[in-house]
Amino acid sequence: LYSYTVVRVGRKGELTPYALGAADFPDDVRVLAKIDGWAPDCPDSPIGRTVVAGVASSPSGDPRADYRLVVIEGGEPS
Amino acid sequence: MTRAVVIGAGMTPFGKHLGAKIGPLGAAAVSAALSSAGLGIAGIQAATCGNVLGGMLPGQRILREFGVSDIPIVNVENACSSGGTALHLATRMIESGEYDIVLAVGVEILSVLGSGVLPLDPDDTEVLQGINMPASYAMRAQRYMHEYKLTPEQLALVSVKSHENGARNPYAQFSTPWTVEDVVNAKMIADPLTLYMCCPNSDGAAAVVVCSDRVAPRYTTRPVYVRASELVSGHFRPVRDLTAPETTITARDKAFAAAGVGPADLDMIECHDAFAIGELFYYEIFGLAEKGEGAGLLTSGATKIDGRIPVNPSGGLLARGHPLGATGVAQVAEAFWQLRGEAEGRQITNPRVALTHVTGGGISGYDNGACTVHILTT
Repeated sequence: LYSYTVVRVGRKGELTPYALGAADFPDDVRVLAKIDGWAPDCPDSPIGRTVVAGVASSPSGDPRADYRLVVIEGGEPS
Repeated sequence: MTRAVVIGAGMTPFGKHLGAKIGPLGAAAVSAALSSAGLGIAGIQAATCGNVLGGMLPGQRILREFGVSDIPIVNVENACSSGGTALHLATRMIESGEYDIVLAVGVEILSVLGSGVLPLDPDDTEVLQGINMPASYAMRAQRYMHEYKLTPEQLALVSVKSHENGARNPYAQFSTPWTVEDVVNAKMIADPLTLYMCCPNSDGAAAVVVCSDRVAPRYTTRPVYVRASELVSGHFRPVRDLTAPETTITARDKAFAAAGVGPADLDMIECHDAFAIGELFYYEIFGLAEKGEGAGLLTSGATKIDGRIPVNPSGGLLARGHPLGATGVAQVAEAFWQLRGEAEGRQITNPRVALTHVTGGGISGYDNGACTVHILTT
């Protein structure tokens, strides 16, 4: 993980909080990922929880163009 | 080569001008600048105007207040660097020899947006992912805190200093000093940046009159020379060091080379402290401190108004305010007043060389979309 933040104030109409993380990968690739939260008073909000995730190959095959963030639970991608 | 000289500066107070219109607000700053220069509106041969969100023809709407017509008016949008870009164009118009007297004005009315973050390009890749300006700087701050063990309390000191200075500036949006506790305990915007580590949405206008060194003696015996006026755009680089804003580095190198000065020659800086972490970056980039040692310079007091190298004596974007299109011009107005000994309650001691710096954007793949650096001397 290169850097991160939890955004508490977003664009008008945007649900907050949400987390942003920048992760560096080989071959000069940096992935910016967003983890959505839901209502701030919801106890199950994922913000602040540890999430194990992987980056899957993109439809185009070029991670610079697009990618998929795959959450891994129990060792299996979901 | 013809050299550009600033002979007059004026601005409105920055803050909330509810219901204000671009034309009259900008005209108030222009009137003040003309008065400062001892010049009538008829002397203006061309004008440039920085504005971001005010709609079409802001420069014409301002100069219509004076009945001005026919002269070239160039409107500039370069995000937060719009005012700096307007001044850059005015300087180049003078240096080209085409004009002898050019007005550069910047104006913005952000109160129409209400509170909240600035609207960025909704189709931008990073904006689609949730990046906004506070988030962008928050991620830079987090990385800097990780690498250099900066604490939130040290980061808060930037805002504390800015507000001490702003309290001495009658044009500043905020006139109340804040404590470290105030800043750290304020509402969190994007971790680790609290509300008081973020600049406000401001209304305001600023203007300067730039002329050629050939005609300057007609208007002043205290010219302020524009030794460097540099504008650069960002360099596309998807993976970059978030703690080293490279657009500013490029503009710095060009400005130092053009002016023939270096960090040791600077007597004051007005820099782009839209978010508190920015000021620490720019201490390091402008050579006031080694990489990672910006907080040490700040805590030493060296960048206070009575310090070795005052930074943002106006209060900066954090306290004076940040009406986007006006900011770059207001920075030069502050430098002009400081260099002429006219900064009243916030005057620094005998400055001779001032640097102003403002960045613009918000665009994915770039640390900034634009950056202007000006170096002015007595």
